[in-house]
Amino acid sequence: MTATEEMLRQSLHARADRTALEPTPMLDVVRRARELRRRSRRTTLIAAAAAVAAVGVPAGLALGSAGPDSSPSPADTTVTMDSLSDLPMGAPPAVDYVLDRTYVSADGTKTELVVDPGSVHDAAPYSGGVLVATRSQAGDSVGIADQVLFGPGVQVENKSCGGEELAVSGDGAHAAYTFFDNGCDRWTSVVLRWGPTGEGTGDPLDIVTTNGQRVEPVGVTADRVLYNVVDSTGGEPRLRVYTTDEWGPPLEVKGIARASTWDPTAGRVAGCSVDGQCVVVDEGDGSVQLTLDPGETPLSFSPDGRFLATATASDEQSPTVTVRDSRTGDVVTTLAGDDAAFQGDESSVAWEGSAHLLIARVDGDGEALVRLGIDGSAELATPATEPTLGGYLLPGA
Amino acid sequence: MTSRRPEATRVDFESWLVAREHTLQRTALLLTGDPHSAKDLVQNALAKLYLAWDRIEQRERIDAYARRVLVNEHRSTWRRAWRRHEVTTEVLPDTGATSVEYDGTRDAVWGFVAGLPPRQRAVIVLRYYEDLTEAETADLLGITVGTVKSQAHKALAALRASVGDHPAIDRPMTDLNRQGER
Repeated sequence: MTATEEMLRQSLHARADRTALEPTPMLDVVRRARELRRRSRRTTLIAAAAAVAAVGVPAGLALGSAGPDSSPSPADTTVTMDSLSDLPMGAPPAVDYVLDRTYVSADGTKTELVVDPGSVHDAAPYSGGVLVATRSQAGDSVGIADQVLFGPGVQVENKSCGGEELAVSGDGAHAAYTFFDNGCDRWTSVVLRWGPTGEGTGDPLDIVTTNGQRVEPVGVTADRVLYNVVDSTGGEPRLRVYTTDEWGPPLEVKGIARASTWDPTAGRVAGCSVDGQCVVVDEGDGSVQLTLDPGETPLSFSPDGRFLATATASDEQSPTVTVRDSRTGDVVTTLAGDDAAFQGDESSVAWEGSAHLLIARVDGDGEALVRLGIDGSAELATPATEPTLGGYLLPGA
Repeated sequence: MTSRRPEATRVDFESWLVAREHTLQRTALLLTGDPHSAKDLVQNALAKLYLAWDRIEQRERIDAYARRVLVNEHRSTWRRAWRRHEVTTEVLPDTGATSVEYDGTRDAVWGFVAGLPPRQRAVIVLRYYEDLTEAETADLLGITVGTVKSQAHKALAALRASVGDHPAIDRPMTDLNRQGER
């Protein structure tokens, strides 16, 4: 080693070794890891939307313009939550949820999911157990998941390659998912299957889509399913939304490129065009029923269809959650907070009946499910605990 | 799929973190040039390492894997900055940068290293701080051994030209070693 090289070596060691560096708390590592996971999930959606051709959005009603059959909404309230510890403790969640790698049913039954930390992408009750879609690696294989069916505490079936998105009906009685009928060959022979979540209550129905299409179920009922399709068969990928039943051909939902939530009773779909404008459309003719504010994205219709939960990203980490009257667009209540983080995707919220919205949030006090009432009330549905890698996930929203 | 319990993963990772993080931090400091960027780089690398923890089969090579994650993350960072056409300040404000004062050889050398382009600096840090071979450095940075040689050669030549008039540069090795012991 020359004198110059030795001087270089000593200088680098002196520089590095004399600098006092604080150790990284384990909590920070877990939080950052979870951010990466969440960002990966978000990227999946953005990548799909960015790849599609433009879809025109007809002019529609602006927010606040009441429809002909609208009924009065509760008064607008805003809940500003500075800290999870500010909220009183309420009853446990009345819907299923996932905390990291534990599936908790509404009756309190827990099913341990034997999967990689933070890998649960979606989950749904199915065939007497819990169907879980996991991603084995962050950032690659967009839209591809392993699907595993768990019974009470045990893995009962590994469905191997399939889609990441699962859908559960509002009454929890039906679910839908996709899988590959041809090994793990991507997006060839994709089967969209939907059926009852319990055992012995009917056979599941299957649709085999054409090659090159990625299918994401969004909503399901006893006899119909709504799903997004990314069609790559014609070169430039195009995004479409369809509904179908057991008998007829799939019907395209006009006016949106990707659906977020479905109100099957009223036949309305909330979703966004590729330019990011989000609307509520009639699933039959694509007519726009409601136009959301710029930057506001739909999350979930209430089971009775009266309310629509939305997210508005003030920054990437802490969007505001708003509950609107789904027909008039009037704001019913809002959950805001400077520090509390909400990831802003559909699996971070779920309705508990039609009067309360559960929201997964995390802040310096930990992570918890917050129950937001349409009357402006807010409370904790689960105690704030130290953040986990997987965090809270609300399936079937 | 894995059957490891999350608590076991966390305890296992945290044990490694306590014992080995400081080496990553020091390398990150030299790669980035400032403590704030280094902290951010280390956190990202640790998060990715944690996500992959249960999939690392050769447990005896975790340190090498961690260093690879760190360097890859750093490469991504400088490439993103290049795509955004950002101009970053490479020279630390608290180093005295290029001012060569009495016994300030190391600061002068560090000021020079901090001013190198990211890839060349990475070559220097991995070769002369991590003591990696040219082949190991090339593998880690995804470049050829020839590129490692040429980058290091250019940097050393520039260093001699930059601080060659400093008294320390012409001292015999014994003096340099004695200086390092102080």
